[in-house]
Amino acid sequence: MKPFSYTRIDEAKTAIQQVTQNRTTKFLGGGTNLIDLIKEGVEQPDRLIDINRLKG
Amino acid sequence: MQTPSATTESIQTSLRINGQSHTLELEPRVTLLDALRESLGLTGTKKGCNHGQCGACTVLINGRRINACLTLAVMHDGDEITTIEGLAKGDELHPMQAAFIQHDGFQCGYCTPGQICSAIALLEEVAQGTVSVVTENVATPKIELTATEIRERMSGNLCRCGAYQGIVAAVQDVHERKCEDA
Repeated sequence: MKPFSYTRIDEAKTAIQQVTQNRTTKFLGGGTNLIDLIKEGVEQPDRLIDINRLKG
Repeated sequence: MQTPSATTESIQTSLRINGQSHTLELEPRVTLLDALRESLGLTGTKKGCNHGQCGACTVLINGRRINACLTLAVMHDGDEITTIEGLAKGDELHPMQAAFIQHDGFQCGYCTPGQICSAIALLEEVAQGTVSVVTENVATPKIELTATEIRERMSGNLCRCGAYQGIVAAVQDVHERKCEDA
């Protein structure tokens, strides 16, 4: 799997900023689709933004 | 285009596995399955397809079942993880483990750790009234756990030996005993 960086973000606004500013940054939710696609090299993000623990 | 400021280098991650805390330095791309098997030596959780299709890697995270091959270990900092190794209390098997033996719920046993973890979470989901696609009446608070329900709810766990009859019987047995006790 191609290496990528990982950041967990708890503010929705910040998360959106991070992803919209960079085309190779992706939201990470459950991961069941994205992680499989990364394994196959279909998706090749440089950075994942984990939005599982966003503050209500 | 901005270059990502975060690093692809290892991240310190604390996992609580079967009641024990482990602190690991892990690259973000390491799946929970590989962390369990390669870093911690907990090889009870099996790698089948590594694509979320077979369910052999099913573990419990905060009581919910999840395919460990499709989640990153770093996502689970602080989470409570239960693997097949954490189910028995010493020599006393978990009721689901005992039922799988009693009802011949396996042949080769490769899918069994995933099947058992999945079945345990299944019963919890049913107890909480979670409906499935084959639930006849979604308005009733109490779900009748028929063989069809079990087969649907266990459909994420494949068994190449075809021990499904025994698996369904084991799940049904544990469910019935739970209902009697309650």
